Amino acid sequence: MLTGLLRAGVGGRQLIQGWQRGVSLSAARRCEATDGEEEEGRAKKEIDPAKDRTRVIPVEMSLKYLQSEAYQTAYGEDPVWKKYRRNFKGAFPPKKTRKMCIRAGVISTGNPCPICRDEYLVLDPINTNLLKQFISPHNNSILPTSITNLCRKKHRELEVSVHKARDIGLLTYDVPFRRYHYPDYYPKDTPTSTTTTTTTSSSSTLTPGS
Amino acid sequence: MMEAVKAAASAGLRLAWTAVTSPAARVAAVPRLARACTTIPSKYDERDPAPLFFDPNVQEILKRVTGRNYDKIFRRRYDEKRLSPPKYEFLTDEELGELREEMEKKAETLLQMPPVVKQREPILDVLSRDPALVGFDTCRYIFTDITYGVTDRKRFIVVRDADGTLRQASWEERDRMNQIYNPQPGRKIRSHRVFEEENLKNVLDREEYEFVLDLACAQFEPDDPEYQRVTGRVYETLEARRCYQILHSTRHYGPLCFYLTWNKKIDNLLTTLIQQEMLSEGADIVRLYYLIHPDSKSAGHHVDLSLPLETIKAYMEQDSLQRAKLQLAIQAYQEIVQQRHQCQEDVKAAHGL
Repeated sequence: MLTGLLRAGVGGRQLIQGWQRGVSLSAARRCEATDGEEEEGRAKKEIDPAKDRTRVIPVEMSLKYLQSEAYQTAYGEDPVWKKYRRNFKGAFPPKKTRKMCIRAGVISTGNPCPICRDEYLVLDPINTNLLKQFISPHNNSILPTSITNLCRKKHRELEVSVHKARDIGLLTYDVPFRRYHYPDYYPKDTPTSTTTTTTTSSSSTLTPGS
Repeated sequence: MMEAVKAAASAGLRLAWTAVTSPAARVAAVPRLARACTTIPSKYDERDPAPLFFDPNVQEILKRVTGRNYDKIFRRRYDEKRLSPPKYEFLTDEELGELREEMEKKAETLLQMPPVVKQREPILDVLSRDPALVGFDTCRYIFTDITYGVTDRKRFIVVRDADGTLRQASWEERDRMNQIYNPQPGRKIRSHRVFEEENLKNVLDREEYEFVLDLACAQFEPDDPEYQRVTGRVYETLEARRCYQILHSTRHYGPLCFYLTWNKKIDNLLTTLIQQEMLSEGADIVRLYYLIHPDSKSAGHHVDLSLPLETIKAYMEQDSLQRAKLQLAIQAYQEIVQQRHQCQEDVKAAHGL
């Protein structure tokens, strides 16, 4: 009976994989006609173009998009996360957002996060107009996902882009105050006088205990 | 038309212009010769500025010139810290006075000037040569003394090279090791990319001078050639664009004035100060010039504290490099003062006084 089932190709792969016992499952046993059809079908499987995210959008295109009318119609003056509504059960959202919206180049969820849903929003250090929307205007910190509702992967990308932009200087911030100890640079016992032009020996080579 | 111009000048034309125009417009308005990239910043590598910078007279002048705009000194810092709501208190006059004194002291600490010192010499001190150790390993070892209580500048850091030489670590190695074992806030082990030429130009075109200077203070030591290159570049850009007032009431204004005076470039600064009617600051700058360059022609003249205009005129006649502009500015100022006086007299006459 089993071999009969296998010859007919009924049940397919799941049936074969379910067997605990070592049943000989050489490929020659299976019906060749059904095998060929399965492979072609897999290659032809169509991705919904609205959910396809295999195309890589260059940053320059994203910069143009942010100045375009399409962006203005979609978002207006609000940040891109403002009108997004997260779906969850109950009154309180889970502490973490989903891990990622896009798996293998395809959107794998019904309500993707604000960045994943719009393919022309590219997180890059050069794209400061987009990055600034995710930075708090009050204390310059990156807004948490409880407010922006980004998936965890995009939030990480955002953090990386913001740090790179701050490193290059495209985004500025207030640096922690550096206090100097003047005697380190000019010992107190050295006489300071405007009339003497001789330089005092502030030692650049180090000796212990000095 | 001349009346309107003078009225505008007396109202602080430069400030109004700064408020109305954008950074891009101001950058474009500067004449071609004054572009930032054409001037190479000078460094403190021949004569040591430290004895002069730390001199009490010089420090007093620089502190006085810096200005005390408390709104700017105590502005909100965008440093990712948790925000706290403002506190409202009822105070008596004495308590208010005490608090004001405390705040003045705090402002003094916030306005501490980064030291201006000579560029450091490379460290070439070899402790021992042991050719017997050649090939002990493929990499060199750096030994750092992490004793608590030792300052970074006095720490013992030695290197055993792959060829067996035991030497004192170079300045780059010292900075790296100190940052690894004793990290300073705001400092990175590998320097920020802002300090590269292209990115620096970009930031300066956006007029973020204070950001770059604060970052340079956090990242480098004052005697680092990189620090002096970056700060020199920023000061030259400010000098080219004549926007010294952006750094007013910050800790960088003192070193800026010192740099310009050291390199004998105070004419534009004096012109700007006269146009904004800050004559006492102008006289202070001239006094600073005499302290730094005691061999200048007008240094021997008696400097009268109560007549700042006379001090500036004395400097202008003897040592100035751009006399015409300065003279024009002084003339304009004198005319404005005279006009204002005349106006007041007319008003008094009209009121019958």
